[in-house]
Amino acid sequence: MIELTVKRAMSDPIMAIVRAWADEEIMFATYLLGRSCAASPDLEKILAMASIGQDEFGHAELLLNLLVPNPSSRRDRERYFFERGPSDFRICGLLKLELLDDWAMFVARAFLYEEAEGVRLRWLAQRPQLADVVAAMAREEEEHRRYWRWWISALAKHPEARERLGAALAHLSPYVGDVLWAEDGAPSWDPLTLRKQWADEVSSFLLPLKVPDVEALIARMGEEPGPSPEVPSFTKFIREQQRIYRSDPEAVTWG
Amino acid sequence: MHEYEAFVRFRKGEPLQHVGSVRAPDDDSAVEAAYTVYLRRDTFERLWVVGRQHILELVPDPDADRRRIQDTEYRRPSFFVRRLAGAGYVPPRLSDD
Amino acid sequence: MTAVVRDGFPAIGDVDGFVAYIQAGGKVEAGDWMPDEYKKEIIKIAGFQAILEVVPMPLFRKWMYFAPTLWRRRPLLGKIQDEVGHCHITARMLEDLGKSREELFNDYLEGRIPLNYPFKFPVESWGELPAMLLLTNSAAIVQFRSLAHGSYLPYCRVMKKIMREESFHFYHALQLCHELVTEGTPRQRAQVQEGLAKWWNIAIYQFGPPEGLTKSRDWRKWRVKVDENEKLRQQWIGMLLPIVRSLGVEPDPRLERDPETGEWHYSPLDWDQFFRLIRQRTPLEEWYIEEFRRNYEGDLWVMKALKELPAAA
Repeated sequence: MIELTVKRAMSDPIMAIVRAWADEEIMFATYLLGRSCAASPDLEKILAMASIGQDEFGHAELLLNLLVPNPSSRRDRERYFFERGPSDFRICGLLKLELLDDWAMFVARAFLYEEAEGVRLRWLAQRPQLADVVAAMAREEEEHRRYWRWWISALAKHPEARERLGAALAHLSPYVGDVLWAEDGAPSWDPLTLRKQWADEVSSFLLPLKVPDVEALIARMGEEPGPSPEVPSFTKFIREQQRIYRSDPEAVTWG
Repeated sequence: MHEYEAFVRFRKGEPLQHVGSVRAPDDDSAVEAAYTVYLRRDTFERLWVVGRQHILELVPDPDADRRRIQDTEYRRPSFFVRRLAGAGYVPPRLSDD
Repeated sequence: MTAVVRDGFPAIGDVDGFVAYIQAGGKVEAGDWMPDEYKKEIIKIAGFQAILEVVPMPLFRKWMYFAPTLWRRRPLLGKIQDEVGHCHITARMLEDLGKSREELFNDYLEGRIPLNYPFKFPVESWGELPAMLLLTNSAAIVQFRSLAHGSYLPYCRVMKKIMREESFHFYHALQLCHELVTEGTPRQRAQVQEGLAKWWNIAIYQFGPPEGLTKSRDWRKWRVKVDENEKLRQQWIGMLLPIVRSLGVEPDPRLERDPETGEWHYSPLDWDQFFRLIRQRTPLEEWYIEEFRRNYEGDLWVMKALKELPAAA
């Protein structure tokens, strides 16, 4: 177990970024969990996702330790997740979509999100208070990025799959507006610069693969951030997850 | 000349294990060489010989800062056995048959 | 692998000799010659097991989304990874015997492979989940432990690998039951305890009917399976009864151990009802099959794309 010193001197704007980070990791991990439960002859893929999902839950736990009053209290971390309302979750539109049904959608979103993670991690690595946490995650995140990039390039090699990938990326395009956008972020957190980095890295990987119709997506990715379209299913999704916990306020533990 | 790796299952029921490599000009010579070098004194169930160029390999990078978060202790029985013990409950041992 | 004839091993085509060899305790290694009937027996037993590992995944997804504990999503996802892994190594063994995983999955979708009996029944509360896992998992452990001594060595190796991971699942389920029973509200405790009582009476059927009630006797001939159903049921009762009792549940008032034979006597089981249920599909089973079909078909384009990838340079 890595003992991380909790730095109480973290500024509020950085806390805002970590809050979004934690929420997004939990959500992404949950989708990986969901997708790991979908049968496929490609059992190897399910095994890989279950492994990535466990990594992401681990990351989320590390981050929650930075956010709760008493990091050694499991109860505090649980309360942090279950006792906030859906609108208190800091999640970009890209991660409000569940997208479990189609592999092209799932991979396209995972790829875009993990590439944004890479940009975010590099920025956070420069904050001394977070260096430990970032170092613990960086290696795994690099492996994850490699995994999603492999899928994108594998699908791009096959005409039908490439079409589906293009369609998936186009579908996700409206939801990239609020990625890497911390509303009350630190002064040195410049969403536009970070988003341009994100757009550049994604486009330099994606364009040579000849995936169709990605120009609009990439343009949007590199723009000033703005709100994402509403995802009505997200509110319901959070409430469903919290229902049992909230059904018994007397409970000291849920296991 | 090519390098070949040799794997042997000595006894029924055991997994194949790597016993070493040989250098040989072609596949047939390689099998012969592996047998001569590694198996002259042993009984064995089967021998595999594979050209090294056909082997795909993955090696973890020892210099990388590969600290896995919380290890994977949550996946070990001992993690849950300790929690139970901490709560004063001694679970039975599952027989490791 | 090339078929091999070793000293003491029956000649290729000598089915009677093969049976005698097996009866005398002989073991079969990957690559050995085997009669078609023997291969079919392995495929039947291992195919059933591979399917039960992977088909119930939607149940876990549902409960993980509802799970009122965030940290346990990680060990539960670890368990899912293990189960899929078990399906994978079993499927790989079957592929070495010429049965592809696509054929296996189609067998299930077309009703040729049934789902393990306990999966007919729903889990209706959070506290019931660890109770179900504890009892059905432990029953599987008892069955796998026995299969690890069978005549087909590759399958024995699969079983041994599976067993190493099953112990993590067992202790995880036990610890969750224990935590809810000892630290939970009365309602949480009741969910676990009622769950244990309910699932005791389901898991006990998991071993199948005793000899005399089943028609098939071929298993004794081939020894891929080596123990009678009742023997395994007895082992399970002996193992789980003290645990279930320690969690505050008396699963069957008529449970008692014969002082002379050591055999457990218990309330009579309704095998007529069992055979009737085996022939039906419950709504839950319909749900499993539809989810499986939907996900499997949804992924076919991906499999096609991967198969048609140009080979690496």
